[in-house]
Amino acid sequence: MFWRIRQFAAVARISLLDIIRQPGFLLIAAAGMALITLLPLLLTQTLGESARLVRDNALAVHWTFGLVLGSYAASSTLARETALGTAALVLSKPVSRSLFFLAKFCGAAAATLLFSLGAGMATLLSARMAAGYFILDWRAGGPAIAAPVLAFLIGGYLNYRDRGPFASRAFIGMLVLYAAALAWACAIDAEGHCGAFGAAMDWRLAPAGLLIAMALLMLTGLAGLLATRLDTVPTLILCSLAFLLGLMSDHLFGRATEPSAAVSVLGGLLPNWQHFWLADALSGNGQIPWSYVGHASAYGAMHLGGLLLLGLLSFRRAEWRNG
Amino acid sequence: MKPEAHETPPVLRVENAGKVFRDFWRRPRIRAVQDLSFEVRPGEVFGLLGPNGSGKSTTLKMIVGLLRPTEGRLHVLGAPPTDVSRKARIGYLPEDSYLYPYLTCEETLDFFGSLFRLPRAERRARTAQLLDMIGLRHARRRPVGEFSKGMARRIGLAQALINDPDLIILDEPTSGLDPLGCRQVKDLILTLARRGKAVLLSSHLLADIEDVCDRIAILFNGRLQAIGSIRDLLEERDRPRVTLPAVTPEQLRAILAALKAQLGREPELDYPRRNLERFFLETVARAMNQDTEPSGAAPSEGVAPYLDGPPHA
Amino acid sequence: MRKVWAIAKLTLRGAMRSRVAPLLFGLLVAVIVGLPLTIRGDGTLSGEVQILVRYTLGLAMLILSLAALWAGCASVSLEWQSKKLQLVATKPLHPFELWLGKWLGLVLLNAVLLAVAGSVTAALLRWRLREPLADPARRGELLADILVARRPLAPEPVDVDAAALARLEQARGLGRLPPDVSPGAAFEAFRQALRTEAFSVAPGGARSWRYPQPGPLDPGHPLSLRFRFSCSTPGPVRVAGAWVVRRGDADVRVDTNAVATTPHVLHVPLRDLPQEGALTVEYRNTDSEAVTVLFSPDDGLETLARAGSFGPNYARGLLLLFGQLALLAALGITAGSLFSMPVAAFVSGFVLLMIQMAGDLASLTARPITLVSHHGDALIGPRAAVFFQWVFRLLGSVASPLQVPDALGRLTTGILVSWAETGRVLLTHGLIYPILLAGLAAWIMRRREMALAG
Ligand SMILES: Nc1ncnc2c1ncn2[C@@H]1O[C@H](COP(=O)(O)OP(=O)(O)OP(=O)(O)O)[C@@H](O)[C@H]1O
Ligand SMILES: [Mg+2]
Repeated sequence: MFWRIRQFAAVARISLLDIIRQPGFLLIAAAGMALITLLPLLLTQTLGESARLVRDNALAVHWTFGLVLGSYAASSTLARETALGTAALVLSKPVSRSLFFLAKFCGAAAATLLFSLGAGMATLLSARMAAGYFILDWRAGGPAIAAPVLAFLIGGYLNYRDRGPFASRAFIGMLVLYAAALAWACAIDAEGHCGAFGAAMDWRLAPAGLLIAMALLMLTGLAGLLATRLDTVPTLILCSLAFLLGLMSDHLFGRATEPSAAVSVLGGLLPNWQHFWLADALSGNGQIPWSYVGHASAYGAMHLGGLLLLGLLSFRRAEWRNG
Repeated sequence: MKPEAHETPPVLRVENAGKVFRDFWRRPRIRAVQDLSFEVRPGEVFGLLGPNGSGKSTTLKMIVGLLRPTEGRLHVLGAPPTDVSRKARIGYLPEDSYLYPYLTCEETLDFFGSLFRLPRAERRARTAQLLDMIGLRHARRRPVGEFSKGMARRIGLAQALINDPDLIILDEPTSGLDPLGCRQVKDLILTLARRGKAVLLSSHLLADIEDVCDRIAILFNGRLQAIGSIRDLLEERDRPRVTLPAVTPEQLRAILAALKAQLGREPELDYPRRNLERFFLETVARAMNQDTEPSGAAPSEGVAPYLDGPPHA
Repeated sequence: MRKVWAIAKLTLRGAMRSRVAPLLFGLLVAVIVGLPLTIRGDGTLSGEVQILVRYTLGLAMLILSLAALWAGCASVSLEWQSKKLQLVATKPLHPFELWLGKWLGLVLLNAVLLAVAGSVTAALLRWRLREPLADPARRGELLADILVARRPLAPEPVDVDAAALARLEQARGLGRLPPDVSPGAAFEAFRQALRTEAFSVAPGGARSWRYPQPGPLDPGHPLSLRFRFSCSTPGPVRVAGAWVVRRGDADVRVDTNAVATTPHVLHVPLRDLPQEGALTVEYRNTDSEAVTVLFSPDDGLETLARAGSFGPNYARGLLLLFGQLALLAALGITAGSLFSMPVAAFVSGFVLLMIQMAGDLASLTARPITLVSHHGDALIGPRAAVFFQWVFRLLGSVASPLQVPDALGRLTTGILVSWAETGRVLLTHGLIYPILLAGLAAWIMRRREMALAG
């Protein structure tokens, strides 16, 4: 039993490494995180509720970039390896297909969650930066803006020194630097003095970010399911479509007074992203209760379980020609 | 080797060529080829030998313009390798047959043919002849993606010849081929050379090289270790060998005794074995007469007629 | 050309046999047939037409755009990564021809898919409008107001800049300008106020829009006035008024009693007006209550003259969309020849975003850039301001030919997509920019070592 766990961990770890070493992953992840961090600069020109604007846009960036990243991660680790024959090579060892598929998914999910972590930290930081009226809190937010640049420089330096993989190091470097910037922002208050740790942060964003991470996991699962049969490009297209349709879910399926059977089945199959998009609930002084997060996560977990089950079935029957 | 080969100008001239692979920061990472010089003339078969990673494929890729040399110069048909128009007279078989998996066998050849200035009828005729030659006529409607390695290799070879090139560059042409295919490829190479084409090939199979090459170069770590004609390099002029027709034991004993008296010591005696290649070919030939519908490559003989035309001037 | 065609055929075959094209085909048909079934409109026939053309065809177009971009990126960079291009590169084929072949293949594929999407939508539209399903009166309305092609007339612009400047000077002279308001912001405020003034109609008063060159007007078809106003009494009150359309010395008057804030359409017959001269449309406020009527300066009134029927307009709209797809494919292929796969898609998406934003940039260049902090001091000096203006102008001029009329929006409001516009888009999107992109890709591909990882 134990060696199965070790096998699982080995496959998952390798697929995570393989994903975060791809330049495309770094590009999308870094662009998303940097964009969130720069939002206060881009949006404070507009008068009025800049804090709210920053918050909404940051969550939206987290969501859209995560969508691309999640489906890319899952499809690249499954579809590409199937095409290259590496999957067949691993499966020629005593590794069961179910374990392989689940471990691959876990690798992709871990990559998506890492991005979510980074995007969440960036969201907290940019909300903090734009919290004051008309004035950007450079003291708290400045280090965060420097973080991506610094991370790329560090990645470049390490690559120069010992030829290590650039992309994964820059990405990890970004996470570490963002964590440091977050700690710094937590430590100081709006006047720049040492205050109660984290008192000036808008922690209501944490459950909102968590919900988005959950939704991204579901999308990664969907991409994993599709990637067992399709190439990367069709997978991405279908994932975006599922995303769009799911976003319009209420609109499409909710308003029909007497939904036909087909419509309600489709509505049930498509995840309803509205459950996970709660930026509006934060307006005013709104809170997202943790019990809601629990319920939504349960809904998401059920969906994810279903998707993975389908993926497993599909993957067990897949065949490879080359390899 | 034909005597006139030395008088014609070389088809390919490599002068002190070197290739350094660099990393992202432009620092040299791997010296794949260093200070390599050789020439190939029309009608000559030139072989590159060397262990894995010794720079054979890198050299061939520099010649077809897929890589640029970092030192030295190359003249292919009198022009630098990047010259697009000269490519019309070159045929290249890469180390792996990089084919479009969705195309059928016939479509693949037709596609590569249509990249040359060939009339449609000529293209059709050549495609048909090549399919016959590589023994895949019966599989011409099957997508290349589902072919076995050797079958794909055969198509790779066919696409390299579709333009009846003057300079043929083959990277391990016999890898993955069955002995029958090997023999055929070797015959093909000899036929092409007889028609005045220059052939440059790399291989690990020393027997193959020995069978077809006029001259060889041996590479190690990207450096030239030896170069010359096969005969000069391999012939041991101080150990002549005599081959006898069938003789009776008494005759043999008498001949040996005479030789011993002449040389002053015992001569070595052994019986030549049929080599495995010949044995295999005979066995398959026998089986062929019993089975009719092949699923892989069909046994075929000879070369495509258009490749075996009158010799070039 | 034969080489180009060979590559194009190869691309098409790849798309068909890798199941990408059939998948897209199925998706498009599913979306076009399925979406109108699932979306509930507002119940009116025109609402349904809106859904069919704008949302359904719009979603189909979105799918096609994504596919064009992705397929463009993938078609070169994936082949590069899987080394198939190595073999092609050793043949006598110029990179330009390779690019062109790929593009031609994708463009043909997109043309077919768009034609399918367009004709399925047209068939659905036709089916929905046939006699027993559609009430004839509604149908007539639809044919007059949506399923036509009408040309918006361009009114004489209202220039208030000089007046605004005069007011600004006056306020300055009197020292009435608050210290924390920058001159630029004050000017803008005066301008807006003057424009609003110019488009308001006091009780008993009138306001007219002048069309110096209305172009040929078909006397057999009415002129459509699309207007919307708000009024000084809040809420949806009815306001009595009259529209007078004048040309030469004849005029036509139509009395209305329209509800404020909702859009209205009025058809004014042109039969009795002369064929020549400038056209004037006047609104007279004849309401017995003392209400002032306010038209929005930008879209308070649209005057539309019939310029053709819906069918050809629809076809031109599709052509316009096709031009956009051609450019997307070109962008994708060029990105794919410069970068490896996901990076290429990302870069081309980014470029697209920049093009979208360049329209806003171009509008910024009208005035010198003023970035003012909230204390009122300029953040950038005048030199820098001029520099930024030039940068933006440059960006704007590169990208402004890429701005495209919103074809679907026009088709659902019965507005003409002219041949001139269609031709321009086909020329820029379908020819000039693709050739520039092809040149760039070919130039770089010739310099790259094909055997190195893409
Ligand atoms: N694209 C590349 N980037 C970096 N190094 C490369 C690249 N291609 C080849 N090399 C290196 O160049 C050296 C020579 O490789 P090459 O493929 O020419 O060997 P070869 O003689 O063809 O070997 P084999 O017999 O295995 O085919 C090797 O060390 C290889 O690692
Ligand atoms: Mg090699």
